[in-house]
Amino acid sequence: MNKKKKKRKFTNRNIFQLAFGVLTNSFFAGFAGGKIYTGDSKIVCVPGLNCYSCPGARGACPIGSLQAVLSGRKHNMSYYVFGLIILFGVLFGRLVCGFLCPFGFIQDMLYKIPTPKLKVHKKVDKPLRYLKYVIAIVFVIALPILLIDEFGLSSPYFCKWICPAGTLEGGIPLIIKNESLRQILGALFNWKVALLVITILSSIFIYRPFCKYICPLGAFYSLFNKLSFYQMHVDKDKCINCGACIRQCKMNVEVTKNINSLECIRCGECKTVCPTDAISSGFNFGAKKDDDVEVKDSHELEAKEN
Amino acid sequence: MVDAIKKYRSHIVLLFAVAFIAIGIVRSEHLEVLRKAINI
Repeated sequence: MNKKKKKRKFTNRNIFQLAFGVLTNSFFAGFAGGKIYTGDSKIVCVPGLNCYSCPGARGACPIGSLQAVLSGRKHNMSYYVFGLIILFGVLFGRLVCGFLCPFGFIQDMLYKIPTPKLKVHKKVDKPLRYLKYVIAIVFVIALPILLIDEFGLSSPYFCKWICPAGTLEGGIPLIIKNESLRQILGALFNWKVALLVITILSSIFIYRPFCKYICPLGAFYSLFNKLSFYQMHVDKDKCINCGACIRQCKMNVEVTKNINSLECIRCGECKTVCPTDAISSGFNFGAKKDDDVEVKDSHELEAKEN
Repeated sequence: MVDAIKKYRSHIVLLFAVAFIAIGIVRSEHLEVLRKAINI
């Protein structure tokens, strides 16, 4: 069956991403006044990478919160934040990345800028995908626990040294409105801005480089992709192995071989190009069964990829 | 037993998540999150 699907500039997913981003950052008075929201809803972590120092943020960032608890004097294990991350992970997997993360949305929008696009070679891309796990273990967990000052306190090292989402969502809006903050800017801020600029520029040419290579939250959620209640599925009987889904997938997932791959952000673009509607997705709260799709003719697919 | 764990692994993980959240609330970790999130 040949289907021509009209490609829209902004998909329903983009609209959902924008709506959720606005909802979770709806303290507009914060942007106007250069102050962060201090209400009780900040007890709850939002699912995506949404800096809690963003003036509009109604909730807390899970990665920032995890480091905050680990780096404090009181606890060296955060059951609450880990519990929330596991909860989001087991419910959604990396659907959070595809639909609920504002920084993922920003990267999606940057990639829509009409420029030539770059494809990172497999020899670089594959090993680089492991970097986000290293960042999660080292900067989010190990350093806040181990690098302690004389007062028994540590720092949220991922937020402090790396996170471009924090710079864009929190740092820059606060600095624009607060002269006192502008006066204490130093080398660390310059470093963070440089990282942000690199992230923004690379997002124009490469699809979601931060999500693929850096994001520790994506790293955590990826561990739940095969386990989550939300699952992607390929119907073996309908699949004709045309490879359209693999060519369409911007996260370089081998859709027909491993649709619930750790790298799949559940954007659903593979579904839109499948000529036989073989790909489906949704929540299944029943008992799990192993139904990995076998490639009918892997040689054919390899030939198409080459 | 192993088959049951395999079939209901997601539900088991969900229970762990809820248990962790409950333990965290008992330990007042959620207040630590709030304190950090509003005290920039």
